[in-house]
Amino acid sequence: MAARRKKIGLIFASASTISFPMAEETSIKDAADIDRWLKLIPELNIIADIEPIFVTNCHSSEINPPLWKKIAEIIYQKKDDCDGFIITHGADTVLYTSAAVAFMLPNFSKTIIFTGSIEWPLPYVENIPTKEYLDIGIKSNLINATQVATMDLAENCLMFGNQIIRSTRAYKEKISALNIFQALSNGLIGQIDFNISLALDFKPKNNNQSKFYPEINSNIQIIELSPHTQTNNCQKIAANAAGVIIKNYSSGHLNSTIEELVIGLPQEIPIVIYNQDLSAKNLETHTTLPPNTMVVTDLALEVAAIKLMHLLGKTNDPTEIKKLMRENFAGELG
Amino acid sequence: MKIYFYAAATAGLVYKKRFLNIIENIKLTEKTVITNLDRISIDSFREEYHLANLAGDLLIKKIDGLIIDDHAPLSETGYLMALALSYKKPILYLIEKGRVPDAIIDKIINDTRPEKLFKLKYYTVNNLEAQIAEFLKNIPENEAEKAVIKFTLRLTADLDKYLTWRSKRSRTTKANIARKILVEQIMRNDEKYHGYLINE
Repeated sequence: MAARRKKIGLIFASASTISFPMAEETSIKDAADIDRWLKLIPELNIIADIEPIFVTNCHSSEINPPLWKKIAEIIYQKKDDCDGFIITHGADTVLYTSAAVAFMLPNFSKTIIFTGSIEWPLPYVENIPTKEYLDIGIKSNLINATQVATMDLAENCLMFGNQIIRSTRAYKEKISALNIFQALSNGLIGQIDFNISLALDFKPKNNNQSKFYPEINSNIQIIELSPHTQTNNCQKIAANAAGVIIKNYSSGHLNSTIEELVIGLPQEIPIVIYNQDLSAKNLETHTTLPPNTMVVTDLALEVAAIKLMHLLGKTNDPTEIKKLMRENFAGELG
Repeated sequence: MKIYFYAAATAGLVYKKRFLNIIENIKLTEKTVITNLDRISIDSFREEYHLANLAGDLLIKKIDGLIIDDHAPLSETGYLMALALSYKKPILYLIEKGRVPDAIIDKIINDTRPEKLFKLKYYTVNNLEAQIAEFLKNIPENEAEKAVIKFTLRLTADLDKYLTWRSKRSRTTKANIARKILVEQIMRNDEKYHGYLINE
C-alpha cells in the first residue's frame, strides 16, 4: 500500500522575494496570486500536497504582535488538517515571529518551520529577469523546508541556507551569505547536504494535545546601553512600560550606568539585564541589584524580549517573572 | 564531472551487486561518483567543498548529474529530485523492466515539465551499462571546470604508456585523466594549499 501523501500548510507572511512590488510575476499581493506563484515552484508538489494560506504581503519589518498571534492561531486551528507548517518570512524580523509562535504554541506536536529568501534584490532587480529572481534563495529554501515539514519532527525551527535551527536557540550572525542564522548550544537540529541529517536530540512528532497561549503583553521597552547613555532619558522612555530589557554592552561587569538606570526605573516592573554572553550570568550575584531585576544570557535578544512579553501575559509580579524566566517553555534554555 | 548516484541502502544482495556495478561503470568513465551507499565518497566531497558548505551552500549544486534507482524510498528520492530539478541538474531515473513507476513520477513529468532534464529508463541487466553511458555522454560540461588554459607537458615513455592504458579503459582522453589525477589525488589533499586559499 502506497504511503499517504503528506499535507503541508504553507503560510505566506511576507518574504522579500514574494512581496517585492516590482517583481510582478513573482510577487504575491493577495490570496488570488498564490496559485500563479506556486506554479512557478512545481517541485514542491513532488514532495507533498501544499495547502496555501495567505496572511499578509507586508514587509517583514511590519510584522507585529497581532500578526504573530494570527499566524499561531492559524496553525492551531489547522493542526489536525496538516502534517506540518511552513511560514515564509523575511529574515530581518523572523526571530521575533518564530519565537512568538514558539511561546504561543509550546510543545506543538508537528513541525513549524520558518523560511524565506536572504537575497536582497535592490539595487540589482532591474538587471535580473523576473523569472530568475524567483530562483534566488527562496526556491531551494522552500523545497528543503517542505521536506523537513514532512519528517518525523515536532520542532519550531528556522531554515535558511543549509542548517535547521531551533527558533528559540537561534541568533543572527551573518557569517556567510546563506547561513545568516547560527545556533546556540542545543540549537542545531539538522544539516542539509544530499539529504537532511537530523541531530540526535530532535523532538519527534507526537499525539500530545497542543495548547494555544496567545496572551502576551508587548508593552516592553528595550534599552541598548552604550558608554554615553543618558540614564534620565532612558527612564523617561521606559516610564510607562510593563517591563524593561537593558541590553548590556559589558558582559561580566555591572557598570555604574546600569545601577543608576535600574534604581531610577519603577520597582514594580520586571527589569531584565540582557547579555547574550553566558559569562554575564555572574551578574545575578551582585547585591546592589534590586529584587525586580534579573539577568538573562545565552539567548538572542529577540527571544528574550518575546519570553518577557509571554510571561507578562501571565503575571505582572516581577518576583514571579524572575522565577519563570529560569523555566523552559519553548526549548529556549540551552 | 561529478555524478551523484542514489539507491536503496537496504536493498537485497542481488541489487547491491548491481548498484556496485553501476558505480564501477561510472568510475570507468573517469567521472567522480558520490553515492549514499558509500559514506566516504560523501565525506570526501563535503571536504572538497568545505568552504561552500560552511557558507550555507547546498552540495547538490556542485554535482553535474544524478542517477537514481527506483528501489530507493520515494520519501527521499522525491525530495532529491525536487531539489535537483530546481537547480537544473539532469536526472536519470532507472526502473527495472517489469516494475511500474510510482504515480509521483507522472507528477514530476507533468507538473515540472523537466523536458531534457529528466530521463526515465527501463533497464535490464544487459542494457544497464549502455543506458548509463548514454546519459553521461549527454550531460553538459560544467563551465567552471572547462579546461581552457593551454599547458604543454612533455611525458616520459612510462607516463605515456600509463596514460594510454587508462585512456583506452575509460574511453576518455589522456589529458582528462591527467587533470582528474591532479585534482582528486593531489590538489584536494593539499592542506597547505587550502590554507592559502582561505587567507587569500
